[in-house]
Amino acid sequence: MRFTIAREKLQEALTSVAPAVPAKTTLPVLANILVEASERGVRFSGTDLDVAVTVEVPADVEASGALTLPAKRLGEITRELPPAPVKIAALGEQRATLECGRTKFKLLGLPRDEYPAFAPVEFTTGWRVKSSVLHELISRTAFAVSNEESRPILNGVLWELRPELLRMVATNGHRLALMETPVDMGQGANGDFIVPPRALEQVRRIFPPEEEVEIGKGENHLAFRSPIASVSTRLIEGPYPNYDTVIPKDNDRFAVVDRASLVSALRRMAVVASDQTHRVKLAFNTALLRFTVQTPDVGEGQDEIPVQFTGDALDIGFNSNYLLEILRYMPTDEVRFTFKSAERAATVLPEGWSAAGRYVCLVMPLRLVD
Amino acid sequence: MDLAPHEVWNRLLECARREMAEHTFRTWLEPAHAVELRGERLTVAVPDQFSADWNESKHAALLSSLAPVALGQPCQVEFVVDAKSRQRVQMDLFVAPPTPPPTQSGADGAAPARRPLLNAKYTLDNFVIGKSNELAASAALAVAEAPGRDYNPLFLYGATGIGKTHLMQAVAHAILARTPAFRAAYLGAERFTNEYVMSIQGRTTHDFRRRFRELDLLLIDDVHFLKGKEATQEEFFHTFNALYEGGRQIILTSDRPPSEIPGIEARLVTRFQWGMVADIEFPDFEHRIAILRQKAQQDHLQHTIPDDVLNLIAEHVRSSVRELEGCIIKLIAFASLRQQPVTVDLALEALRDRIRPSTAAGNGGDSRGLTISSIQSAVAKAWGVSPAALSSKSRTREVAVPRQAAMLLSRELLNAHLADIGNAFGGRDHSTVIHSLERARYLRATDQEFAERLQLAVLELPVGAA
Repeated sequence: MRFTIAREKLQEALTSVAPAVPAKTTLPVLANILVEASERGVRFSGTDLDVAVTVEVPADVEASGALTLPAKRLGEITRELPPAPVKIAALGEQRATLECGRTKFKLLGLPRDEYPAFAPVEFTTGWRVKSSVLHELISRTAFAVSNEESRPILNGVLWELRPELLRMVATNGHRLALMETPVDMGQGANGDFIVPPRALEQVRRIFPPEEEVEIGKGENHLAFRSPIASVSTRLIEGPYPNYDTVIPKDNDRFAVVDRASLVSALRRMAVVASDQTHRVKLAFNTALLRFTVQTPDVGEGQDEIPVQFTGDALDIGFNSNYLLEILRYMPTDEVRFTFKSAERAATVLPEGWSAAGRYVCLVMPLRLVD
Repeated sequence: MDLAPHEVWNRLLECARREMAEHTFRTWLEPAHAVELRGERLTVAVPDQFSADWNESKHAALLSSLAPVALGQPCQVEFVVDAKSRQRVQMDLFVAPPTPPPTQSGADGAAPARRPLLNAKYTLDNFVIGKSNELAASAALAVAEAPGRDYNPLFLYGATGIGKTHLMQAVAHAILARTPAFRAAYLGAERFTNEYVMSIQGRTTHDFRRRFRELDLLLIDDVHFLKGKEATQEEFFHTFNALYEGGRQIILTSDRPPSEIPGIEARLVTRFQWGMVADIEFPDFEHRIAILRQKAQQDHLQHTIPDDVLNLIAEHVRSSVRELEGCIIKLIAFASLRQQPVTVDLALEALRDRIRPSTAAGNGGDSRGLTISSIQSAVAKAWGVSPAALSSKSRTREVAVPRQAAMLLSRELLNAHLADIGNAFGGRDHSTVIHSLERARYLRATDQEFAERLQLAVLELPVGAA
């Protein structure tokens, strides 16, 4: 293997692949990046066995071949190189030289054979979608996944693919985010996948918004690819809980409130809220939303903001972090809350959102009395 | 059945793991834990309602079908939502809130004379006295005769499964049989801690104190669980004083003598030593025979167990009384299933997991002398480290990898207990051993060099071991 590549191209490729390389691993070869040169260019791949990322960049290839090189070192070297073409050549199965101007390195890697094979994924589904659609779905839902080990199913984002729409749902049991966007996926498009959020994060990083992404599926894997990059991931197995039954349909108290003032009031209150529960009490009245925090050993706080509220007055407790997270991803200046009672799920909706589609977040209250 | 709920559950899990895909197992069964065993019904708690529903519909039948093999008797498994997740302050979308407790009708609102949760089988009549426990037993008898008088507190200590709880509860049974109005409470130190913590959260410490300081008899099991819990120790200290000064009887158990329990305040330790400190040791051979006879008689009159079978079990099962009793249960279940009389051959088959190959083939098969230490030296040789390093504290890669390899061989070739393996490797915890075994299995599957060295080590073992 021998090729010459522009320094910027090399750096770009390494920055794309590096996040897929695990920081700590039990399998030494996973700390390396797989470098494969062919007449089409050079491919760089990294994986932690669950999620794999591959990018392909143009290069002047003199001899094809492949080997793996330590990801961290290669990245650090490239960052410090002068702006000149970089020549990389294999010396046998597991060593390579890197030259750039007057700078020279010899690097120890591992043979290509030791690198794990990626799970086979077939791109025969014909599903294609614009990357920006995925970006939005991911960024507005993935934050809500659980990281509790005891509920592995909730560690993934549910992605429902239908002929006319895409829907993503994530929850940790305490709060939930659901977004759906109308997209023509073609007749027969149908699939429910529970995807690790790490994989979605890579999708968001690797594919620029305007790019068209093709979706393939394997037995227990899902893959996304563009002409120059691909991300594949193992799926989380299992049935996802029926989220539809927990979305309240009969909430009868409504509040519309300015998002920015709600956020700043919550952030102020959060300072004195309990470190464990982050509990803030919200008291809704016709025109006033009053915040109260009482934390033994810390102190108390109170605040007020204007609100448009309809329905019987309501006192309800929430984890301020959950509310703040949801508010961060709300796309509009005003948000609408709906409630049933202090023990039932509240919904948060973007008020006056013009986009086609649906975005709804749920948050379960905190009990006000222990 | 005398197994604790979690032991029953662990056995079922062990069998289920072999029956289902690893991934499914991890996702659905691993997060669950047993909460209650009532007769043949095991209740298992999971974090939320959809796990409960899914497990109920997909796995309950399988688990129940595994029970006869895993436990030697049928067992129905049911899944419920963990009571803890119901009570959390943060409500959950997939967990129904707790049903409000039935408001106590004012009928006898005066004194909540709750019956302590005692196991009906743990009576003095069922307790087999032998050399290893006669001091503890006579102290217990004395306490049962005159609670709060001579031996207060009574502190029983000894290894797990050896009869501490039995003896402690037997005293309560004897006293309650005579004076039913006696206010007694039995609970583990862990539950004491939890209830105390809950009372702080619920601002009901006042009720908590009243409940415990107005008792006539307090039994606290596994008091070493108070280790490091300073606030609970403080509370316990005051409870102890209140009861002691009022001449109420206190009985405590632990896995070691008071002075050796780490992380317990000195003032508590001295109080523990005020009364009678009695240890219970492993029963000797004759005592084990007597225990087995008693167990066989008590539970299964229709089957007679010949003496040579009792001898076989007594000779090979030495770790605890609980395990001895487990053997009898399993043996009887096996015999009824097969409709065969109990013989030595049947026992060997039924109890092949307990009577380990390394010790079982007493008639000559194991002259090869395969032990954990012979495995350690073989593995040390294959990896070029010293055998002592395997039991050292060092966690460098050079040592950790062969240590994991040696643990794996000890487990697979000797079928050794996790705890025994841990002890043989420098007193490591059983969970560390589990992790090491997983690592070693993974390495064996993925790392060629590791697999080869492991093979080399096996060849080094005394002849016939592989």
